[in-house]
Amino acid sequence: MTGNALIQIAVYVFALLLLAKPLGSYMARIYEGKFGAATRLLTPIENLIYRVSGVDPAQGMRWTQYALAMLAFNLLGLLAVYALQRLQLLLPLNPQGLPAVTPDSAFNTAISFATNTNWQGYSGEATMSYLTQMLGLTVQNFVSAASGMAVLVALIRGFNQKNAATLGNFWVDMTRSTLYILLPLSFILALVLVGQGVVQTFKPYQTVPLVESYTYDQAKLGDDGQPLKDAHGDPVTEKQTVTEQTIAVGPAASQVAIKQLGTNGGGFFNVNSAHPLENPTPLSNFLELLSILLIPAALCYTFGVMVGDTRQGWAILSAMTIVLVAAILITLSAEQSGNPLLAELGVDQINSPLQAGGNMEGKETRFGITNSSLWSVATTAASNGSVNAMHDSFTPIGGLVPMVMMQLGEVIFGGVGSGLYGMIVFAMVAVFVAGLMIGRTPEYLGKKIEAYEMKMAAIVILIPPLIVLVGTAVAVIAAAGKASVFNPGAHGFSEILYAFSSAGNNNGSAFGGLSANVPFYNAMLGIAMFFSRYWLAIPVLAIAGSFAAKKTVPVGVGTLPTHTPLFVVLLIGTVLLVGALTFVPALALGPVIDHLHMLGLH
Amino acid sequence: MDFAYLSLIFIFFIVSILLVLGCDVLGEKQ
Repeated sequence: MTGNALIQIAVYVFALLLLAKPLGSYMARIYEGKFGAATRLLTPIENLIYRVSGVDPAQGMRWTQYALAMLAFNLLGLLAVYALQRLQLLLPLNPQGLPAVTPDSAFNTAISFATNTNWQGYSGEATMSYLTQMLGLTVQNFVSAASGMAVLVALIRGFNQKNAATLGNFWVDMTRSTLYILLPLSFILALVLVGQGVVQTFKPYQTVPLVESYTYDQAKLGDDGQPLKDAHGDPVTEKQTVTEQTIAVGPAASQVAIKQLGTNGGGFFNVNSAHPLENPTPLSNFLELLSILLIPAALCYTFGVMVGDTRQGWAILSAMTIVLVAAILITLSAEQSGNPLLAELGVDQINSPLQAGGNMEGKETRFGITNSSLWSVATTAASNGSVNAMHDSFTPIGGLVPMVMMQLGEVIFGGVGSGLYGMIVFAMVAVFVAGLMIGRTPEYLGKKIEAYEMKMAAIVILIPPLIVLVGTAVAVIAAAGKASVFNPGAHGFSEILYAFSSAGNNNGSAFGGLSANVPFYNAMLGIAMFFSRYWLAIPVLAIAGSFAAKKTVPVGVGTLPTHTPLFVVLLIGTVLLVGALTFVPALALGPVIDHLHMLGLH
Repeated sequence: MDFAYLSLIFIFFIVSILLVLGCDVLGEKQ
């Protein structure tokens, strides 16, 4: 690791923690209905939305009503995205005349964007019209993030309320999350990104002359479409000269801003934030990177404010940050060390003023090892999934870390809202385990944790591993699953495991290398994304409803303090232990074997 | 194919609604 790398990581983490408090307290004020002068400007729009949609903002909802409202809203969004993709050829803003998306891909993408996963089996610039990107995918980027924030706010209210039957109003929480938090932040970020050179236009793709033409040999095809061969069996080729290039453009900046802020991650272009028109400069890279974790970090502070004890929020944020920094350092170290097999061949992998050194395969030279490693961990710690380097080309340990970050359940920052509610469930399990070990009453933030809450917590914790491991097992057995693997052996297994870890934890990043835009993977990963989103949100709301109905227990000598360094360690231990116990066997078959091969151990 | 995928989506939502109801019944029992 270089000094420069450590400084960049320190600046990133410092900026993140610095912004967590002001944004977190702003969000708390929004959810508590305490509007300032600036936010009051948007109140007429909020009220108009309620009037038009017939919502009574004062009406509280039971947890079941809250959950059903969330499901109904998400169903409509999912159907809208599916329809937009299937009908895009008949709709406006399709200057390239892109055809309808295939049904299996449309199914996968609709679930992917409604669930805040943003797994992309398709290539954006070759598949989606501008209308589908804007009205389908970008809108879902906003509302799927707002859905996660709404569920979190409902859970926090569960802690706050005593003997109450309701958790607030889903429509109000959704509207406020979008209108007062996501939209203003995205608007500002989109403008800055446009200033940095991220493209934002409705013009069709641009064909431009190349500064320097080039010639290459292309295989000649026969009438049957197969390559022609000469008498020696060698392919017959002809010279082709390329003088121009088509550059894909479109309304990217507005989508990129919310893709980062809403922990969505679905790129406008196929190579996501490695694309020069999606992430053109070091500053755009830093801002997009910061945006990945900004709201999840700030929500920890919001949580602290809303439960009346900011130390609780800082404790959770500390646990997340410690795991994040450790993961960044491991990845960075692995990538900077490079590949010993290449060193044996005499390749110079030492960092110097002339080169980055280490493993630069699959990385943008503009970003280098540090920013690629930092991004890979941040994007998988959060359920973002955008990439600025190809994780498939990382060293085995460098690729293992992003996989583990997802397999921990997307609770190290995680998705906006969903990451924190997942972490709160882990905090409940930590309290419960501590209670069992030392005989203290299991209670968290004044609420007794009883059998019902633990059953719901068990569903939350067990669903993702079940989906990931069963899905991976089916894929490595089924012929259709194996047909998409081009790297047989341990690395191919890693690619499948990564795909299901990504979908089954609503991350959305791709390892690469796996040909996933086929009916088998579109269906399997679509199912994984659906259930890992809603079957977690539902038991979390059930816990919220149960807590709201309970009385608040005053802090006593038997209460385990949940704001201390000891609890932070206990929380990290719980998260790591559950993740490790569940996934170590699968990881041993993929990246661990890959690593041993790299070291020459067969 | 559209019918098959849309049916699948509706089935997923129906089983999710059943999960809501199941969790509620479990909560009422306790």
